[in-house]
Amino acid sequence: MLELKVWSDYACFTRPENKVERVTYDVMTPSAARGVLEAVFWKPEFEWRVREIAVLRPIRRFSILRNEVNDVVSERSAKGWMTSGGGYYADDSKNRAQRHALVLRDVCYVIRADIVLKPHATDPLQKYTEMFTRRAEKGQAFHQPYLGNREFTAFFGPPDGSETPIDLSEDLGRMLFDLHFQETGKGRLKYRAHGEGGARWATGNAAPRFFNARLERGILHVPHHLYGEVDA
Amino acid sequence: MSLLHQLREYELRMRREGKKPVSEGEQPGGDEMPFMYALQPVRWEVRLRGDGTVLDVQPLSSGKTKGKDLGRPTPAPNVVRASGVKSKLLMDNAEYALGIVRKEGDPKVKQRHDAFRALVQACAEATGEPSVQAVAGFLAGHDPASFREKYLAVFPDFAPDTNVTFSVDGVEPLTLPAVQRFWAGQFGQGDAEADGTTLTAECLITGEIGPVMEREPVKIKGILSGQVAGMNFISANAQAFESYGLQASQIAPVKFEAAEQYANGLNRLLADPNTSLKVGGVTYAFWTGEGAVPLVARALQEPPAELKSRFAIQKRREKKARPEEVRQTLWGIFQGEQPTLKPGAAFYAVGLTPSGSRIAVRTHLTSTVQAAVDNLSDYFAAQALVGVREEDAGKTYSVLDLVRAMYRDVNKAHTAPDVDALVQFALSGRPLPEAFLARLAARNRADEYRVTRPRAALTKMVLLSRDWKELDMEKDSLDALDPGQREPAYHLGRLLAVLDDIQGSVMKANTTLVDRFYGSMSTTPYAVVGRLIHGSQAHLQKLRKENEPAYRAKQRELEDVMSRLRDIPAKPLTTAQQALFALGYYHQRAEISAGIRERTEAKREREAQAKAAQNLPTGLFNTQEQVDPQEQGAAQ
Repeated sequence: MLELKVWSDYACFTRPENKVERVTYDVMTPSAARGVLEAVFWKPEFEWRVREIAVLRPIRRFSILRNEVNDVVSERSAKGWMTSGGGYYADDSKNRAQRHALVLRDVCYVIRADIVLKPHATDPLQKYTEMFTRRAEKGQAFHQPYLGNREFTAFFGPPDGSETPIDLSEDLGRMLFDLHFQETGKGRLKYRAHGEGGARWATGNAAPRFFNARLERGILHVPHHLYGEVDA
Repeated sequence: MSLLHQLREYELRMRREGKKPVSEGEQPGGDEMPFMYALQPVRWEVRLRGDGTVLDVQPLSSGKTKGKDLGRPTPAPNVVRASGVKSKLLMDNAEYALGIVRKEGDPKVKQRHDAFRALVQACAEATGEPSVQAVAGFLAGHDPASFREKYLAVFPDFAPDTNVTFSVDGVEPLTLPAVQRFWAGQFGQGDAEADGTTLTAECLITGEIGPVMEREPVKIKGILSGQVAGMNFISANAQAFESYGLQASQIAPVKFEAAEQYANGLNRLLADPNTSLKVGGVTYAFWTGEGAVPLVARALQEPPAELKSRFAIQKRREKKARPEEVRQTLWGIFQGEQPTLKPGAAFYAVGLTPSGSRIAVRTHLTSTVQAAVDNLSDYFAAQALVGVREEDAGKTYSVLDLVRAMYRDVNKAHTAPDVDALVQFALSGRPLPEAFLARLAARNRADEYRVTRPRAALTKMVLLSRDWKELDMEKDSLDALDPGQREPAYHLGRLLAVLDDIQGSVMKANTTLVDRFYGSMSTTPYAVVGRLIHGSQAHLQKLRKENEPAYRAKQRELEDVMSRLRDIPAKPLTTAQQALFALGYYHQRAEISAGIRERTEAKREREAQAKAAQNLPTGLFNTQEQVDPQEQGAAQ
């Protein structure tokens, strides 16, 4: 199992039901953890499976008001701004909405996850695990990882062994596990699928999936069956 | 546990316990409201015969004499309607029900009436109820213009935006179980199923996989300064809030029934003043996992009078309010009114603010009833403070009183974050923000009344709630004057009060020492202390010549303070030190006025005894006049 320690001053793992006026989950969600890992290292040949998230600092909440945008900018208009100037700014009152957010304060987690090779991978697993370890040690990332929202940049590094989870056992209720993509002939979104023939555009639907999360002595265990595996 | 899950559990428990759902106005008799029914005013009843011909139109009155009469509150099918055409079943406004136009030439009226007719037709076919069939028959041959002429001409106050319902030979189809089942069946599959866009997903509350709602079926009402028509909990109305092609409420898949339950649960809490608190821009709801809901809302709004006796510090030297006693008193008060209070039950609190038509969650606390009441007692115990005036002893403040202490005009301030911080401190013991101290210090400097009792109480609460590494402070003795405090800032505050007292005892200044020096003394004492001590010497000298015992007493007081003040900080005082300064100043003032009260009391007693000895009836003389007028003034 691979480990990565991440920490930050703030984090917001937005609950879907409070997506607009944000409220965070108490603990990092598996999909947020996957996002952090993929920021550090990802290849089409494998996928990350998050097994455990250890919470190292007490859960503290904090309430802020900030500017968020109302629209999603299209690629075409962005290209237009590149040539002729202009842009889409959150400070512009036309695009802006002031929104309240209940975020986490002063967080630190250890993510434990496995790399699982996809059928079309040809290289051994060891290649990828060692690549990941080197990258984590050197602080290399494809983009700076973040905790839930882009604004909440995360710092990361390999754990040094001194980390102890907080002593808290609690039911967290139903938590977002990840989005489940299903390819159909006609769907609501277009996305990149990776397979034997390389990357391609696929059409389909995505549906959020949830699981009953429980913090057991400061550790959130992600059930194996969510990844279609038999529970160990 | 998620908030919506907790709200839904509460609603289900209330239904199990047979508590009626909450709606506007009067409650209909006993029964539970049918699914997707709500109490709505119905103004007109079109009475039909069994064959679908019209008997007459009957006005239904709400009994209101003032304003527009909207009609009798009746449980009837309800939908959340925006701009689209969406009909209610068998009861709707006259545009839908009878096709009578409000604005001439509105092309939508026909669409609306057609939708109404189609729904009644579908209901008649599905239920086979003769009364519904009669209404469908009537609607099939209905002509709005001639109907209006024939039956509504006698009602000059008829308005097309009032609600109309039908009855057939005395039978009200809305009350028929088959009709109610048909109406309930309209939901759950979602309106969008017909066009194939219904999302089937896992419900985030129940975990069941099935069709999920596209829009919330029930709006939440009773949010302070929110929209009166009701507000949404889950919604996405702009592109940036949507994701993965999921729109509106589908961003968070919830089953239709579950959505109706959590919204009704919250509406139920918000409608009851015992389970909700609306203060300073924030709306709170409190509930429990089982048993009664402790009356925290009421306690925060108006602290219980019984607590006062616990705080009245019997002897002046007793420094600490006893939290255990406060706890017991509070438990006693709550349990006296609610015998079913269970200490171990889960306690939930949520703080909500409006944001457009949507609700923002500010606070969400989960603890136990026991812990909540304990924290609430600590909150009240933290307010224990001596009073400068006798009648203030033991007084506690409401949340708004405390917030008011920080502002010149509370109505012009955005108080939601402050209210929220106080309520969280009261219910979960979360430390109060440091920013409170800065605001209080600013008010103390600017306001001619300086450190008022609510300000001193709030200052004390902030000092108690946090850990101040930079302050050398004894937290156990902040209720009343404590010469044993080590922090110099505290004694500087006392010094200012003593010097002011000396000045006051020899002259009546228009601008007192405190008026002129509170600001500089509480921030940069090093710059002014020397000058103040020097200036006070002249006052003391005058006092010595005029009233030697008073001089000695004041001199002793001054020496007492000075002996505690080993060094005067050369740097400006920090915010925390300024807070302790304010508290020292307040404590000393309270001490001085308590001394005056004691002496006045003793003097009265002596005089009474002297009169009794001379066998004179007391009360012939007004003792008030014999009190030293200067001391009397200082006591106020």
